[in-house]
Amino acid sequence: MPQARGSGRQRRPPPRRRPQRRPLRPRRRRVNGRRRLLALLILSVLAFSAISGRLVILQVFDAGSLDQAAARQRLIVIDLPATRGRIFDRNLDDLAISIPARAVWADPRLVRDKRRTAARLAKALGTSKAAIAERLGSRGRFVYLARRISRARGDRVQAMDLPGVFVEVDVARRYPSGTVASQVLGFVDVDGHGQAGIEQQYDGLLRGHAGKVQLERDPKGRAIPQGRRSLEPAEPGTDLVLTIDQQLQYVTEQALAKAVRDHKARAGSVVVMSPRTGEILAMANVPTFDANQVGGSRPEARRNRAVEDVFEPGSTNKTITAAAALEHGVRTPKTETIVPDSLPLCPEKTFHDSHSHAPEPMTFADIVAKSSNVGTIMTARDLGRDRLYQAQVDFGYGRRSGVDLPGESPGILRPPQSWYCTDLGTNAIGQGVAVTVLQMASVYATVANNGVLRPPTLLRGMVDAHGRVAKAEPKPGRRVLSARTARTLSRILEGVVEDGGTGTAAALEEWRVAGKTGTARKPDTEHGGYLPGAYVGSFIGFAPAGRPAVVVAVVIDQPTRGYYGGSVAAPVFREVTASALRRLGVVPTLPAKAVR
Amino acid sequence: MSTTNSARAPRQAPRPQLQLPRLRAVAPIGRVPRLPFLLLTVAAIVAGVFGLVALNVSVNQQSFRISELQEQNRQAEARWTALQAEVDRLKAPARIAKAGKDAGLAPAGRPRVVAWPGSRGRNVAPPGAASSPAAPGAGLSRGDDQSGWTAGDPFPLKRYLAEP
Repeated sequence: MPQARGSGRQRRPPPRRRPQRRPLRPRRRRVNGRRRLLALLILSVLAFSAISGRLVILQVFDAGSLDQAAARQRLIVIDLPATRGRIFDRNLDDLAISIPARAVWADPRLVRDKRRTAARLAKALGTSKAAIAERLGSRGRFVYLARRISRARGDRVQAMDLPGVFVEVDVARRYPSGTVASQVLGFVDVDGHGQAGIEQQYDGLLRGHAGKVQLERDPKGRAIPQGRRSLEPAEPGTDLVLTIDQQLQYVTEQALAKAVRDHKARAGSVVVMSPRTGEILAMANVPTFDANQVGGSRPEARRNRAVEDVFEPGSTNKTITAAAALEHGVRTPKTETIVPDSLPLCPEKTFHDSHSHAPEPMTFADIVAKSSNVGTIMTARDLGRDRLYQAQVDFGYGRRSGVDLPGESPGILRPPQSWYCTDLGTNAIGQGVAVTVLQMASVYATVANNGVLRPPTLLRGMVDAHGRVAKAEPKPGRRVLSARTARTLSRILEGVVEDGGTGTAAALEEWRVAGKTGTARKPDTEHGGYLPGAYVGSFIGFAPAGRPAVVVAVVIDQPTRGYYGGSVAAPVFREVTASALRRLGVVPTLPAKAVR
Repeated sequence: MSTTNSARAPRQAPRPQLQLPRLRAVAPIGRVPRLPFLLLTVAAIVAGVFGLVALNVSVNQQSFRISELQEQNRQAEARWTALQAEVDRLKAPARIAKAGKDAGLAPAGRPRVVAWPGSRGRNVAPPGAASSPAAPGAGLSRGDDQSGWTAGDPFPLKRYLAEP
């Protein structure tokens, strides 16, 4: 076209044609496009809505649980068991200590070859293959295979790298002296909770508080150094210092065991305490057990008979009758009475002395020294039942002493309103009333402490986790007798171990001794009345008589070779008291034999 | 055609003359060397990365060191406890009694307490009863009256408890 114009020739314009009408684009096609766009828009909106909705669900509604699930995958929480507090004797020798140990557990679902695994573990753990196989066959996902095993043994199991078998930190309780004071200390269960004795009584203090550490770990289970980490340290338990003297405890247990063995007795108990403070220096029982091997012990061997069992005190109870009579002025040591060998107190009951004798004049001191039943009942008759009962209450009968031990018995003391005609006589001579050995030791400790009763205690102090020592609060004393009555009674009780008394076997060469024998029949708890030929022999006293440092109560249950307290219990008293006074460094009060 | 166009084009109004600055030659701008910049940038990045890695390694090393020391501490503590348990076992009265018996020893008998004329102690055997020289203080009955313990108190707990 430009060329044509450039040529300069006039060309006739082409005939103007009627513009041909362009055919309209099909209307249908335009509509489809819009619909597509609309559909695309809707799809996009729906897709974004779905994504947004899902995001809202994940980020808002499920955020917490998902976060926790993620945390569970990469975070591990390791429990840090608290070290249980130690228990010391009064010289700070260990009586109970916790040592690191290992526990082996398994997830049975992860164990591949259970038979082979059981065989290898049985060899390493020293247990039976069948027992381990049985545990591995359980359906749970956690089962203990061994607990409180030594670290070396646990490390050996760890080194085996058995699938589904794991080793974790554990703590074992050990009692280094084995049977020594085992009933006092008690024991703990597999979870380290106190189940008896001091372990149970002070479980809250001894246990401490477990801690935990939270670590972030990689897929192989290794802790990530810079990962999230939180530590809640374990707080160890409080160390306790007891009033027990381990050496004296051992000597006491040996002496008691020998007496029980020699006299073929059923059982025996001894309590050694300081009258001025109420501190229990030793508390022994036979039979006994090794606290390190609780599982193999008998229940009766685990029982602390000195505080849990009651017995009829017999003649040792005459001290209370005598104390009340002296306190109320009913008798003086020199009051003389004609004492027959039998006394019909009630129509159906006549009381007898242990040995027949003609009616004889006896001073009150002689009545006590010779342990005359009839003389004592005559005294009680003059005293009256209410004053006798009140004296027993004042000395602590019928209620717990409050010693730091679980399961203490309050004993049995019936109120005078329910007494029968014979009860005045039986109570006066220690029958028809039941007490613990500890209660009887407290009675004599009261006399030894110039009439002031100091509640018995086993706790001398506490050492907390920071090494600070807190003395145990001394329990307040309570006056039961006047000092004068107590001194008078003490002098009367000295006569028991002198020639003519019933407790000469308790006399010591170095120190003056005051005490009282007891021989009581054992009640038949099933059929009523008393068991034929069954007795409880006892001797309870203190030394040195003028300035008492220890009170020792010895009770031998059902001896068959001799049964008088003066023959079965007094020798134990002598041996234990001598050891205690030497151990305490008490200077002898009797003239020593010349040293050549 | 241009003529035709100019003839047909309507005459336009003269535009106002713009005062443009006078053009002049300027010195050509030299090219900035890129290599130092690149090297510096690379060096900075490398140094930064290396520093971060070194810091990370150091932190990790410290963490491992702490773990090692904690493990050593645990082992030392366990060893101390095991030794303490062994000491306790050796100090057990039953073991000592058995060892003494095996060695031919016997329990001590009655102690000999002697006094000399003029000793102040109460509860002391009369001077005439003893014939051997007195040990200083052996006859004294001092000590605190509250606890009942006398001279030569074997219990160190009193001193122990007295400490703050």
